[in-house]
Amino acid sequence: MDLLAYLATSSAAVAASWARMAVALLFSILFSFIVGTLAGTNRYFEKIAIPVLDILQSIPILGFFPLAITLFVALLPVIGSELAAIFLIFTSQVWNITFAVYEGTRLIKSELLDTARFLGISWAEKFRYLYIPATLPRVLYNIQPSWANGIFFLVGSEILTFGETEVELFGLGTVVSRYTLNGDVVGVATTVGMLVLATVLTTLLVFRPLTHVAEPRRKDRKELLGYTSFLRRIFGPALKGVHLPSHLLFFEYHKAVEQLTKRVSPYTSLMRGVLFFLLGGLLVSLVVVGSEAWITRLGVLIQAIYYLGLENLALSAVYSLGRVAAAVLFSIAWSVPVAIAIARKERLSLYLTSFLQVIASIPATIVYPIFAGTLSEQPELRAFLMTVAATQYYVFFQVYAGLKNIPQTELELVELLKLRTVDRVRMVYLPRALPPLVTGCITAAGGAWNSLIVSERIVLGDVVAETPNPGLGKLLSTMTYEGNLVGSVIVITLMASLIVLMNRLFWKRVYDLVISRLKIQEEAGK
Amino acid sequence: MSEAILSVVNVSHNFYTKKGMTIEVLKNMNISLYYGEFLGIVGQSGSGKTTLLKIMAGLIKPTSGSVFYKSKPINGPTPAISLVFQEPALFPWLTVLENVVLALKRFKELSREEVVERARSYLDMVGLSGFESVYPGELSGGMKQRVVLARALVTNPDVLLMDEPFSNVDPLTAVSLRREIDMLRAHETLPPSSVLLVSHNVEEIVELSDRVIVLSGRPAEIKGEVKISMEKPRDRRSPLFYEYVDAIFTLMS
Repeated sequence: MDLLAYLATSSAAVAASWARMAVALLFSILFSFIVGTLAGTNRYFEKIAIPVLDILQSIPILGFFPLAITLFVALLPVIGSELAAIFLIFTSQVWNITFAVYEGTRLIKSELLDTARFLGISWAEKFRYLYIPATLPRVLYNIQPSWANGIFFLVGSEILTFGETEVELFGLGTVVSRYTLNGDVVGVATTVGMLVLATVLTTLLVFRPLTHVAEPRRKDRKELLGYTSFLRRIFGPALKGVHLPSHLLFFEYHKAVEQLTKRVSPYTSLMRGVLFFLLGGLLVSLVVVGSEAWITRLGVLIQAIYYLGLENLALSAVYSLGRVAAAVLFSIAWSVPVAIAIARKERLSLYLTSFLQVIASIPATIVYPIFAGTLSEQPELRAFLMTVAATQYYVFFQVYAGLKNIPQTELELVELLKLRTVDRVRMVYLPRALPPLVTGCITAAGGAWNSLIVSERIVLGDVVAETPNPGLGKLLSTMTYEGNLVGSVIVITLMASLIVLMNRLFWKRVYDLVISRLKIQEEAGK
Repeated sequence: MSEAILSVVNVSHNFYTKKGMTIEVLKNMNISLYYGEFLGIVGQSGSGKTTLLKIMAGLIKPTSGSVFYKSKPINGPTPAISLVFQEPALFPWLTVLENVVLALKRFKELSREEVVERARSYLDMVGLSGFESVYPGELSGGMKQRVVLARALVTNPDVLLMDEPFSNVDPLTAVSLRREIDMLRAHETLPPSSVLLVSHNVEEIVELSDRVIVLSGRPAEIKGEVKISMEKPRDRRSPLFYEYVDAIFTLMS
């Protein structure tokens, strides 16, 4: 194949995947405006919706496979697989946007809500004049992380497998996997290059202008519409480097997650995990067993757990936990020193962050097929690298943003006192870096858990690359490819409960501890 | 005394804390607002004045008792009763004109042109012509409060309820706003027929009101009533003015 053919294939693949993601994003925004607004305004709906969303967002994308397959592919054979892929992308994009709308709605001033009430404007007008404008900035800020998350799971979404059913859709994910399987290095490189190009272009042409829309409207906007503003619009973003908005983006994303963590106490979430486990298991066995009696249905559930083995489940959980912990620790180990070293050096930080932005925009899942082949001798290392790739940027950008936003007065004070570097780091940099570090870790750990489902075991055609040691991701992947519905539900339940429990019992406490020690409020991450 | 346009009858209101505690905010309130009257209600901060206003506007349902507008019980917000909050509650993403137009959305029979025409004339009345396409973020506190006033009056309400409307405005602007409210009141054909002003600022209340009701602290109860018969505009430095101020302070303490 010549280069032109490569370019044509990869750009067509990018176009196809982009179109899918755009449709999924539209649905995500629509869903978020409806569900988020309802949850933010109706107390009863909030009580049901927030825990449900909490659980849904902790379910890894593989967990939605059975639903996507049975619901879309089985019901609508022709467009079903396309819809299923869009649905799967949707599940990786939607939750942070929904939480953004929810938080935004809850933060509307009560005077404004009262005003809307006594002005007697209708429900639709309330949406138009109150809820949408009040939450739009947050939604726009969340579009980019959602998009990135969508790309990350593109490989998973475009190859739908559940037991016997396997559907492959033309797109970035499938094209890259195919090139890898054929050992076509040029093909992989062209496609990855095209992906980076598309990401940079989308950032500059779509996300950048969108975040400008979110800025408070001013009258003098019109006066700016001359040549200067034209230049500014064209060159401004490029001149500033690609790094600037991402702080905000990462921040907004984890803020949504963190707000959520605050609202749920550990014990109720423990209860919920158990409840979800039981209900989900029962529901699925109900579907599987059909017309049998209740006792038989329960029997199927117990049988499935027996088949998986309690010991196996426990061991898998421990190994997965270890992998997540290793990835997070590694990310902290390099992020903090690097961020401290470059944060005060304007030029260096601009270059390095721009570079990392581009690297971060290449989802680990896309290049994973390369890892799968080259590191076949070292499967644990391969899984580790893969998990780190999905983890480290959250930590780095978060810490970096925290350090960038040290108040000017503190920096001037440090200069005035002529503190030594060691003391500067100890007195100013570390305390300022800690809260964003913790919040970055929360998001990063979430990302790590999600990536386990591909890093512990990935299936590319006939090649299966997996870790020798057990893991929840590996188990889930095995169950999914076997078509074992009850088994995969059990693994998902365990994994989702673990994520939720970790957030409540561990991360929330660490965060509270750091905040109370440092007496820095929310603004710390800004 | 003439008939009441708005009357609060045996209204009590409690808040319930999360721990199951009951906090009495209002206790056994009986207040009548008469036709053509400017009524002042004065009480300390946190005495439940805002809650009382919200109940009168139909935004909150009281724990017990009821509010009647022209002898009919109030069950929810009505365009006949307008409310001005302490904080100028404007929609920051809408222009000044759009903010005022929003109040006319419920009048489906008005055409778009009529709505805009009417909103413009009320903005002109509060001295904001030329600022129609400006966003609230660019206005000063006093100008914002004028927009709120225009929005409150544009529906031709019979009753205007005001919750410390001058407390977030600089003193000079407050003086001119008070003078404008006086002038609007002197205008025969213009609404509203009756105004109720709630404040903790005794001088302000004495300057504007025909009658003053004094509230006690928590739970708020009516301590007494002072009628003010002075020509408007009132001179804050006259001895008579201070007699009224003293009388109210005595009732408050």
